[in-house]
Amino acid sequence: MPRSLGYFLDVMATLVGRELRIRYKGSLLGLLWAILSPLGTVFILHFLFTRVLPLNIPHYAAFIYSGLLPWTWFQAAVQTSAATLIDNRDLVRKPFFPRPLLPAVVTGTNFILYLLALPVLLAILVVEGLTLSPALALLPLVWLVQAIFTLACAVLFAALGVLIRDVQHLLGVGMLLWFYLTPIFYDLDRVAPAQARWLMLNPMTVFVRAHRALVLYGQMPDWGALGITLLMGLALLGASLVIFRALEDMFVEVV
Amino acid sequence: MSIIVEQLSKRYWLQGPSPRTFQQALAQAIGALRHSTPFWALRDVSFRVEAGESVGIVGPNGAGKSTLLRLICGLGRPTGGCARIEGRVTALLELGVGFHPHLTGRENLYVSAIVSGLRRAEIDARLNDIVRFAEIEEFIDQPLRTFSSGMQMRLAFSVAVHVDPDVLIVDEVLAVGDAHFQQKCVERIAGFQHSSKTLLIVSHDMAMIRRFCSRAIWLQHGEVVADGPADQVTAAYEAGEA
Repeated sequence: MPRSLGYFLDVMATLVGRELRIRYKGSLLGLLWAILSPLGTVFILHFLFTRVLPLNIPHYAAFIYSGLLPWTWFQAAVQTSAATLIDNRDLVRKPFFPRPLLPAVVTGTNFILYLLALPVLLAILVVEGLTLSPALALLPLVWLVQAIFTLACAVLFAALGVLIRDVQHLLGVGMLLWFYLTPIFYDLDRVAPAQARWLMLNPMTVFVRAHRALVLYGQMPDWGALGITLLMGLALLGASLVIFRALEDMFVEVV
Repeated sequence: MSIIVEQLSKRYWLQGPSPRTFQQALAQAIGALRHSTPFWALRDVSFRVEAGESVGIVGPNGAGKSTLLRLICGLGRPTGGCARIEGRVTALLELGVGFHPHLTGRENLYVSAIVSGLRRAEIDARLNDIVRFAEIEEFIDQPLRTFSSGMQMRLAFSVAVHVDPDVLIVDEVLAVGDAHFQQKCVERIAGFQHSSKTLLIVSHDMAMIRRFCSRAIWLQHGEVVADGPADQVTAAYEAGEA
C-alpha cells in the first residue's frame, strides 16, 4: 500500500507522544525527569573530576553537560532501539505497518528529551558567567547530522537486536566503552595527539565537540568533520535500511 | 483483481527436543537440520479474489487458515509462490494492537487508528462515530486498564471497522462483546459488503460464512480441498467433518 509522507509524520508524532506518555505516566515529577537525570549525572561527574581527580577544565559543569546531552540522546536511542521491536511486538506483527518507523520513534523520543534538557544547559552557562553566543543558532545543523547517524545506528541495532538477543547485552558493555572513547568528561585537546587522532574517528566526538564549539566557546564547529560524518551517516543509514528490510520477513515470524 | 494467491507454500521447521547434555548438543550440532522436521502449513495454494467479492475460508484447526491470511498481509516470507493484495487493507488478525493499559481510551484509540492506516485528521473526523459505536462514551478518558475486556474489544473492533478499507480481512474476531454488539458488527460488515468492497473471512461459523460470502474455500492440511459457491462448500465441509 503506498503511503504519503504526511502519514509517516502522523505515525511518528502519535507514537512519540505515546512513548513520552507511557514513560512518565504515574511518576510524580513526570517530564521533569528529562532534566533531573542528566543533572544528576553532571553532579556526579563534576564531583568526581573537580574534587576526587581534578582535571582543571574551566566551566566544568557546562563542559560536561554540553557533552553529555548529545551523548545521552544517541546512547539512549540506540540502546532502546535494540529492544523496541520486541517491546512493540504487536505493532511489528501489524500488517502493512511501516516497521522502520519504530527505531525512528525511539530516536525522535530521545531527541525530544534532549530538547527538554537543553534550556538547563543555557541556564548553567548563565550561572557560570558565560555569554550566550549567536553561534547557538547553528545548533540545528548539528542536530540534523547527529539525527541521521543516530537513526542509522538505531535501525541497524533494532533489526539485529530482535534476531540476536545477545546484542542488547553486548550494547550495554559496548556503550560504556563508547562513552569513555568520547570526550565527554575530558578534553580532547589534552589527549596525546597519537591517541587523539583515533578518537577523532568517532562520530560522537565530532558531535560533542561541535556542541561545545557552538554553545561553550561561541566558535564555528569543524564543518569538514561534520560534513564527513554526514556522508558517513547517510551511507550507514542506507545500509541499515537494506539490512532491516532483508531481515524484516524473518523477524515478523520470530518476535 | 483484489487478492492474488499463486502456488503459495509455507514450510515451518519443527524443532526436536532441546539437548539435555553437552554430548547431545554436539550430536545435534553435527546433524544440524536432521533433528528438525519440516511441517508444511500451506502447500501450493492458488486462488484469486475479484474486487467486490466476499470469500470465506473454512477448515479445521491447523489447516493453515491463519498462515494464509498472514502471508496475504505480508507477514512472513512464503517458502514458495506469492500472495499479493491491492488497495487499502484492514486486517482484523489481532485486535487491540498498540493498546497500552496506562493510557486512556482516547489515547489508545488514536494510536490504534493511526497504525491501522488512518491520518490524524481522519481520526478527528471519525472520533465520535468510533466512540459511539463502541458504546464507551462516558469512559473514553479513563485509563484502559479500568476497561472490562468487553469494552477493550469493542473499542478495538470499532476502530477497525471505521478505517473504511477497500479490502477487509477478518480472522475469527467477530465473537466480540454481547449479542447486541455482535449484531452491530454483523450489520457493519453487511453494509461494507453492500458498498461492494472486498471481504475475506476466516470462520468456524458456517452460518456466518453463508450469510456474508458468495464463495468459500475449504483448506485442509494446507491444501485447497474445495473452492466454490459458499452454500455448497460449507455443506460439503459440514458433511465431511460430521
